[in-house]
Amino acid sequence: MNLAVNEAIFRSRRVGLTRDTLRLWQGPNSVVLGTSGSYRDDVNHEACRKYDIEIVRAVSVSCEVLYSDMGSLNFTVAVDAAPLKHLIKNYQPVLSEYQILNEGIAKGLQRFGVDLKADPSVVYVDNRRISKALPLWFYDYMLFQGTLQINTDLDVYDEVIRTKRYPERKDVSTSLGRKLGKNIEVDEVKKALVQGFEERLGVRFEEQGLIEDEQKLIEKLYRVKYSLSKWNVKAREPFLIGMGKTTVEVFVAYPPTSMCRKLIELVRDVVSDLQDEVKVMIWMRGRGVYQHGPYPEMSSALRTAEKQSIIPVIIINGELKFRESVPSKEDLRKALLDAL
Amino acid sequence: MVTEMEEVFHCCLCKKLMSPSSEIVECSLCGKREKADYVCPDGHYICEGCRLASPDRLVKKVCKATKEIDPMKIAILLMKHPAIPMHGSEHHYLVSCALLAALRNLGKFKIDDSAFDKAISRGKRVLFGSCGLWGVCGAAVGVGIAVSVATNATMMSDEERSLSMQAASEALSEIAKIGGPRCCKASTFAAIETAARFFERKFGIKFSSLENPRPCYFKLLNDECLGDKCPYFR
Repeated sequence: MNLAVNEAIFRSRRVGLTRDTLRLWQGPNSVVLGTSGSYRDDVNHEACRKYDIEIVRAVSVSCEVLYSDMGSLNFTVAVDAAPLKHLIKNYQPVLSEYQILNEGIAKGLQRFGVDLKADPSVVYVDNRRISKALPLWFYDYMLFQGTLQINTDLDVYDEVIRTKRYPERKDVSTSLGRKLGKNIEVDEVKKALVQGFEERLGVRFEEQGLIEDEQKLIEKLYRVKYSLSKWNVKAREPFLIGMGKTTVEVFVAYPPTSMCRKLIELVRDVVSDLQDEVKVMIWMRGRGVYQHGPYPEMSSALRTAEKQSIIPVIIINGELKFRESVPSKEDLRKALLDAL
Repeated sequence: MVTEMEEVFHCCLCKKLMSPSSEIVECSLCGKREKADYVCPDGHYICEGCRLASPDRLVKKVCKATKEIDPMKIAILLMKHPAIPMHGSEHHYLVSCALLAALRNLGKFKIDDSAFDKAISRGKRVLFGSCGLWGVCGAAVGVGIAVSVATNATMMSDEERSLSMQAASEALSEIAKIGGPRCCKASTFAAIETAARFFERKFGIKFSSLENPRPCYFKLLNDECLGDKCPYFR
């Protein structure tokens, strides 16, 4: 559920319902794979069973793997990253944004008297990693989900992530508690992190709960994505637009042929009483990606249809449902209701 | 929520605003006559079959039907169709098919419909991005394929094999002069211009005066357009 919360916060930031957000949270023992992480190869499943650790997947451009337990503090930053580029000298796209956020973490933890360093991929002390994150981009918007090891059980950490692909070594990571030789109160770290981010980003945070739209979306994201092995194991996710509306993409010729027009009319007819829950997007071949505004959201199925010239098609939540023919009203209605 | 469909359509061939029509009109690409839905002021109409066609089917259909003897005109016409992306491996076989169609219409070589199948099948094997990755642009390969198909060259041939390779290498040399990032339109123009010179020099075949692709019709559609650096920009 926590990863659904993160995605909901990110989507809400993207559509402008909320402002830049920092979320600090703790959750059950878990291994978190990035979108392209391998469920089979990147996790020691035997160790996960032994310690009752769940394996979940976060939306991310990274194939890194995180481990988090009740001794860890997780952070989520959902931010319009465009202004960040002014906060660093020698700006390097993407890397500088990661660097700045990792510097925020390092700055916060330096209050404990530890000489932490940050680079674009990790925060470390004495060359041992103490924090890493899984980033995700949507145009200028960035989601930065990561884990900070405070009193984390590093032996378990090492065991669950140790695979052929990730031959974790005990001398690679550490925790704040181990470095200081004592258990650290998580609440103290939370305060320090907030201050660290505020200083590095030049902002002031206000405490706020989730808005209603986010809460609704969390429930939906959990139901259609994060609770399913289709996502957690196979990394296949439904295509949801904006705040998670069920999306019907109709790909047609330019100008639409008679068959394309019939298809469009049929879709309009079928969704007429579902307008609040369904978004229909009509894409015309050859008209470019900006047919629906400056931040296009297209499913990979639509890109495939365009690349392979499968036309016309109806794609529901990223799944190609009807191709090169006009389905019956009943079939389309059923497919749509199944997707809601 | 349904996003409204654009109800104003611009002609793919001349960009002019199209008007509704119900007349029987000839397709400007394949020549098929059918009842039109939208026609532009210049009389351009694209039939439903061509609008739905995949790039390879479109190229074959148009090249089979055309009576044009200018390969550049055929290539530009094809590239204006929405099925042909700004950049992509479609250009590799588009070059060969446009050349073969013009050669056939000039009555040179023995070129039947199967020539287009051969050219498409061979051109498809050249990957997108081969220019940067292999050092061989697919449009140049397309020129080599056209010569090979026209002369029935194989790896066992003597002169025909050499001619195919010479044609491809001359086109490649011209394309290389343009610089990068790649532009499949500029490469296509350069490939066809080079091929026209090659066919005249080696076979005594003169295409009609080639359509001048300048200023490039596609420049505003190309995010990575080379601008003044490109010989076809203005």
